[in-house]
Amino acid sequence: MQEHVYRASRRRDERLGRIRKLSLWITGGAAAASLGMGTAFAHAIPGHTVTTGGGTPATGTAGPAPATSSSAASGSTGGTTGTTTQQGSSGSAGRHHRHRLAPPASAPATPKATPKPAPAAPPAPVVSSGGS
Amino acid sequence: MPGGQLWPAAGHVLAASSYGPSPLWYTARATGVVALILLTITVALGVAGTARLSSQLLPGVVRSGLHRNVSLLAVAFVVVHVLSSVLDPYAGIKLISAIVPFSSAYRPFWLSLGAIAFDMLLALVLTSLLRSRIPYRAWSVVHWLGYACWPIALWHGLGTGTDSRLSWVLILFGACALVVAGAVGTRLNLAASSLNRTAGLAGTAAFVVATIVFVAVGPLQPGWARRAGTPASMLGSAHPASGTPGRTGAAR
Repeated sequence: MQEHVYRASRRRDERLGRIRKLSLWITGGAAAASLGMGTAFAHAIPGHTVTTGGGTPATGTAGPAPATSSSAASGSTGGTTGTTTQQGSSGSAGRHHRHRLAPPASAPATPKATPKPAPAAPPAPVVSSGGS
Repeated sequence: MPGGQLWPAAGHVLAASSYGPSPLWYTARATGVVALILLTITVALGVAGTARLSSQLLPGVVRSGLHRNVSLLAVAFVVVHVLSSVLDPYAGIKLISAIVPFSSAYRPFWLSLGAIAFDMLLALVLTSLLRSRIPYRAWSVVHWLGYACWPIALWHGLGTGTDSRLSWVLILFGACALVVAGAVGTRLNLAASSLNRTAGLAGTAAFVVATIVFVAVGPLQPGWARRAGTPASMLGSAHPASGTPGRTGAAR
């Protein structure tokens, strides 16, 4: 009788252990799949592939960015414009682009025509004798 | 996945967040797809339990325990999916919209399908957790909702999911649909009445055909975002009212 109970108990523990093990595998697989899909979406959906916006932040108009082939292929709502100010809910959309590089407000200064003087000859290396 | 491969992948996501939309945006999509896969496994395991299918590798007790654990895991992923969608400021989805249908301005109908599926899932889980305290009949009726929850969740993903144009996402959805269709077919074979069996098979076939037609004329066509109910202010300012696809992804 004791042997029978012991065997049943062992079988129950073994099955519970199998449930736990399989559940952990599925959980790990789901987490890994989620991470992998997040990475895949990050590569496939526009917004990631287009890193330079064509917008004009100074005027606040929506300047469409050049769509890449991947952005054309996907149906994402991810913004690809370089807009920084928008109305309504799209104002929050602009927060997605806060890391986007904006074009400079003014043209870079033209370099002066006067050539710079040739750099002086590098100073002779100081030879240390170890403090002596 | 070994840790050596996991961390570079996480680095990719973080790097992507520096240039593109918020990481929450990607999290919402990834967890939504994974939740649908887990729901598919749950349905398959549930039908296998009803059909008394068991093997040496997967005895009845193990299958039943897995069915319970995978369904709870699916709920956890759905919760993450909802929270990341709400926290992501892009679409402006409120928490109430995840529970109450037709309370969102962003793609109201398709988002409501997700809210309905979420409510059904919560009802399923709660009645299953309280199974010993409620009549079996009530539990069984609510549990039948599982068969309605899955297609609603699928249509929510296809209609709201802005990634449903990606080929691998469509393949994944198709594989899930095949598994569920097989499970439903197995379940219908167990039905006592041939009328129920015929009606069920006809309904399943009609659903599959309707889904294929919907994908072909809906999400795969340009301008779906506008037709799905995306607010005009989010469609890009090129031609928001005319329906001309703008150059932003939102307009597609």
